Amino acid sequence: MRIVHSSDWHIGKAFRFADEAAQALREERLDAISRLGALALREGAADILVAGDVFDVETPSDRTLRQPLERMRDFPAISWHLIPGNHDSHTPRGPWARLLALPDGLPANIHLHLAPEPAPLACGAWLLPGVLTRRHDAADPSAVMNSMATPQGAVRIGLTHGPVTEFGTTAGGTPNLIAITRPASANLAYLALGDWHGAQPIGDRIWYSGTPEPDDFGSGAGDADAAGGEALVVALNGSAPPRVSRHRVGRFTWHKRTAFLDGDDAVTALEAKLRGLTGGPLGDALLWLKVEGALSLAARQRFETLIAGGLGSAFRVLRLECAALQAEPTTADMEAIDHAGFLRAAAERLKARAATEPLAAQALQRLFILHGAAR
Amino acid sequence: MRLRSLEIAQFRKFDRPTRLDGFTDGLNMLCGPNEFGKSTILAAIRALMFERHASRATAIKSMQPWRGNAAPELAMEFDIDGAPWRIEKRFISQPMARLTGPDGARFDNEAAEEALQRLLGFGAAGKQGASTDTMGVWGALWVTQRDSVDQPDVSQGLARSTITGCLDTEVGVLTGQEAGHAIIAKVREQRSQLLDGNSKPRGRLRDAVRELAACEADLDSLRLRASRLAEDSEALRRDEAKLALERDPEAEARDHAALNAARAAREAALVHAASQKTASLAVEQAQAAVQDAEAARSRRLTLGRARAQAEAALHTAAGAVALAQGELETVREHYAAQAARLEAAETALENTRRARQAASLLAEAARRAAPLPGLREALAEAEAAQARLTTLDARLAGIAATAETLAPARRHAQALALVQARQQAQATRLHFALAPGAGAQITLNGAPAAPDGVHLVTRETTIGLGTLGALTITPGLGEGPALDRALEEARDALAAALRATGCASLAAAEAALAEREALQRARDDAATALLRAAPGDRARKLASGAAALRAHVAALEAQAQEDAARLGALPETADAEAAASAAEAASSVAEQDLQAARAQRDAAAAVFHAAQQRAQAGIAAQAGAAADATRLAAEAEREFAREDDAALAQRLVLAQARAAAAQQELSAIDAQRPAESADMLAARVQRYEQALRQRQDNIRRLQESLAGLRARITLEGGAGLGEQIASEERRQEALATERAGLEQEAAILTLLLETLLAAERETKERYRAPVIRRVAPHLQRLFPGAAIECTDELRISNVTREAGEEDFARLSIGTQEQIAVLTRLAFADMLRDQGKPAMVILDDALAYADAERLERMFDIMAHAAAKVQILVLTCREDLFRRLGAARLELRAAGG
Repeated sequence: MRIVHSSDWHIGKAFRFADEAAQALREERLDAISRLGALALREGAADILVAGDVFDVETPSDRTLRQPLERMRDFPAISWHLIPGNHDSHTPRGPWARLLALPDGLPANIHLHLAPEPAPLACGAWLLPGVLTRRHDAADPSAVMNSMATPQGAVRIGLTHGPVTEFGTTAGGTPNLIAITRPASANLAYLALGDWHGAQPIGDRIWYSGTPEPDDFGSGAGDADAAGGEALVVALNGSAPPRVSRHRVGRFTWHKRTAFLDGDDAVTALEAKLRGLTGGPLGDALLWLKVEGALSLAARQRFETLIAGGLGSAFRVLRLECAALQAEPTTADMEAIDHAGFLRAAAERLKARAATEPLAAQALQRLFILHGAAR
Repeated sequence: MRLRSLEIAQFRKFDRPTRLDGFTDGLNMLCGPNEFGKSTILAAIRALMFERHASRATAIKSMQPWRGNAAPELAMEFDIDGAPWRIEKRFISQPMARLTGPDGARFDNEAAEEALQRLLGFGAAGKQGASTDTMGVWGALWVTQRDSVDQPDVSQGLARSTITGCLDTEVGVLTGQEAGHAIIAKVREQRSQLLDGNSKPRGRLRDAVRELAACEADLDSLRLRASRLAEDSEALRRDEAKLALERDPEAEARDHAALNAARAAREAALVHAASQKTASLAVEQAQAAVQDAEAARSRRLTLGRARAQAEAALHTAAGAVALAQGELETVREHYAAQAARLEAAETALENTRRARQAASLLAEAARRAAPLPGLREALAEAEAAQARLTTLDARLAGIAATAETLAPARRHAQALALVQARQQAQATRLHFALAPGAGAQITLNGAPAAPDGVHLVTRETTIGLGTLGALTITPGLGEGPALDRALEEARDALAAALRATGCASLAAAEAALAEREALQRARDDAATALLRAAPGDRARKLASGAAALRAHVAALEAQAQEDAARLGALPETADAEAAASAAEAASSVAEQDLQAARAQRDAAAAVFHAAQQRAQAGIAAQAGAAADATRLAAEAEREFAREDDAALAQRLVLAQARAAAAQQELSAIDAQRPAESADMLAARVQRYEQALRQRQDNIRRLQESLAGLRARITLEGGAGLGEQIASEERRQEALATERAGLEQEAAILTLLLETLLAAERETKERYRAPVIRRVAPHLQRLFPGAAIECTDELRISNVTREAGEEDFARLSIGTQEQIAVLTRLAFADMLRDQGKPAMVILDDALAYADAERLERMFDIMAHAAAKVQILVLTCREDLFRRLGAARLELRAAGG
């Protein structure tokens, strides 16, 4: 008895920062659905449980609303079980109501669980959906599972969306906190959770699956590689805790890096290091690079060529932050512009202002580049 | 560079070989009239230097001589840094070029052209022949007649790089100007993609700004729609709940039952109200009957009381009338007495007034007559004085001698005495001392002579000696006759003067004058007396003199007589005044009496009137009381005729019984009054009906509203607003980022461009200095105290003289030309200083200069020629003689 556990598809996410790559990122979230279906077929799972936040917004366009349906329709042998999350809560005219109202109806293999009512799964187990009927209900959505009736001896699987109670904090502060003791209190074989974007076990019967396709660099300072990109295959095994295996289904990887540059060599080294960042094609990686330090005009030109130009084209997205990168024009830079004459005079003026005025530094850099191009 | 010689053959007008030589290192001059060929000389030099020997350009063809079709041949010798060079060229037919160097080195044809170009720093001529571009700086130094007014143009091409090269060397800046200008052009071009000439956004930047604004507007409208959608959803839920509530069937049944109950209660209340109203009406009618009877009884009592009062009033009024009439009689008598008294007082006052008037007239007449006696005495005195005066005047008129008439007589008498004295002094004295008795015989001028004595002989005097004859003494002529004449005249004058006095002698005249003066004094006395007696009186218009006084006295006497006739004898003035005063006092007393009498009469009149009114009022009151009594008696008679007292009492008892019965019935009906009034119940029925109607209205309105909401929600819900907002937000962020980037780019380019231009400007400033430094001293000679400004193209743009700053283009043609020549000399000077070949040729230059300027220009040229060779071509031999240049001559060459 196997199921696939997924969540947080965030279909229709805009990806504001990504510019031209945004469309590709959106498309990839749909492809991830297909990869989930393929995973289920491969692993022999009849049901895929999606623990909320299927849609990124409560009012998606019709096409966005329908696109995931079509991906799921491609797998008629698989039953897809969906519940609302905090991004796509079930309101009278929200996405779920609109799905129910589609004139051509839903594909038969798609099951929406919009009320806290137990339902049988294809695999024979019973699904206990913990859904909130009100958007801002501070209650634990899994609480209803305790009183849900299922046939005698049925395998009870909980499915809900929200954060879990944190140890050491009192419940009630954060809304929709899910009690981690729920499997015991509701007699659950497994509790499938959505909300967190990285796969994470909370107990031997509770897991967050994470999103199948990462969608964020993640918060916090310092270097980081975003979590997510996985799905869980849950093998239910009688009354024993299930065996949970993690499977990669995501394509894009998201990375945050900070680099300190002090010269030509550092630029070259950084380029080499970043080219080997993922070990795979850089077109499947997104990089947020913060650069600090100080560069001569020549080195800065090299930086622009290798990093901004080269790597900027290699990565799917290169988000470059150079505000902290200082210009440090050297005598050689200045000589390269001219050893005398009015160009040199202009360069000297800009250099004098460069330390305090970023604009002057940039103008000087530009003069350097233009002069190089003119020769 | 210094020219040494020029050979020309088959070149335009020079169809024969011609040679020009004799050049000195400094100033050289070739003079000749128009058409002499000076400009052709310059053309030949330029062609030889700058045109390629093999050229087919039109310019070359035009070199051919006017006659024939021969090949032009030119040759020139010149020094560079003291070393001799020679260039020869032949054009068109069998063209050739040859350059011979100081070391004997020879370059032929193309090699010669290229060597010459390197040597002198100019470029190869193009297909169209040599041009400003290819001639380089020489174009600025060798000036044709036509261009001499223009300043040398060294702003571009070869000329520019030559001059810039000089300046670089001189200023000490070796730099790639060209690279800098290319970068400036590039920056300008890049900036112009983003900003227009006014630094306003353009191109992609402008589009990004606009797109961002449009995107934000879209976003606003999307957000508005989303919030409306949310509101609509909320409204839908609310209205559906309300509709369910309104449609509750149990509530509707409850409302209908309540309405029916209210309607029944309202009917019952209405029936009760009708019977209650009937009973009330009966009570009111019965009570009205009672009141009517009671009113009749009360009226009858009132009438009786009124009759008694009227009789009493009549009686009282009659008594009052009798009393008033008695009193009136008494008062009327008193009034008559007072009136009589008043009349007497008035008469008395009239009398006293008349007496006062008479006394007053009498006193006035007495006052007028009072001065008469005094006046009469004065008149007598005046008339006596007047008589004296008349007598004295008559006597005075009889005396002619006056002080005035006597004065000439006195003077003439004196003069006569003087003449006589002189005559006697000069006369011969004849002393007689005759014997007594001899006198009878002795005569003097026929008259017996006195026996003794002295006789003055003034004229011929004959002394008769009796018988003895006669002795005649004739005085010498001397003054005698003249004195005789003077004596005669003096006597005549005296006589004439005495005639005016009316006296025969002076003594008589003196006596007459004395008498006159005595008479005059007496007359003055008489006049004084007259004036004293009759001085006149200006105030009364009375003239002085006896006549006036007499008339005055006569008038007064006439008045006095008239007064006496009218008033009787006039009393003394004092008496008359006293009598007048007494009459006045009496009149005043009578006046007071009259006023007192009048006051008493008025008081009596008032008392009489009051009494009269009282009597009349009493009579009126009596009449009124009588009328009242009569009317009331009639009224009582009518009342009893209608209904006597017994009938009235019976009617009252009956009516009271009926009223009590009606009241009893009304009380019985009131006891059955329902708990709620009909009005209140009607209002409730209306309210229930309204509520039912409203429920239907609400249902209909909610249904309509819900239909609208559902339609809107269906429409907007499918539009994917949330996703659109997210998408637009993404676009907004992208556009904002793009705009910020482009603005940053524009700012960078702007800063870079400004910095580059500022640096370039400074460099140019430094470039201008050498040019100004060389032109300025020359200019100072031409215009003492003047300063110049120079453009980036090294053209003189402004000249500052004492009169102020002047734009070059506004200077006179002459001045412009002179400055142009100075600039050429300066450039040549600068080139020479930098070791580059230079010399200046001026073709018919300074044509516009006046004599003084020309002199100064000559000085400047002579000064410049110490360093640079100058060739002047001119047709004005007379003027240019003072230039002091070496005179060159054209000579036939070779042969």
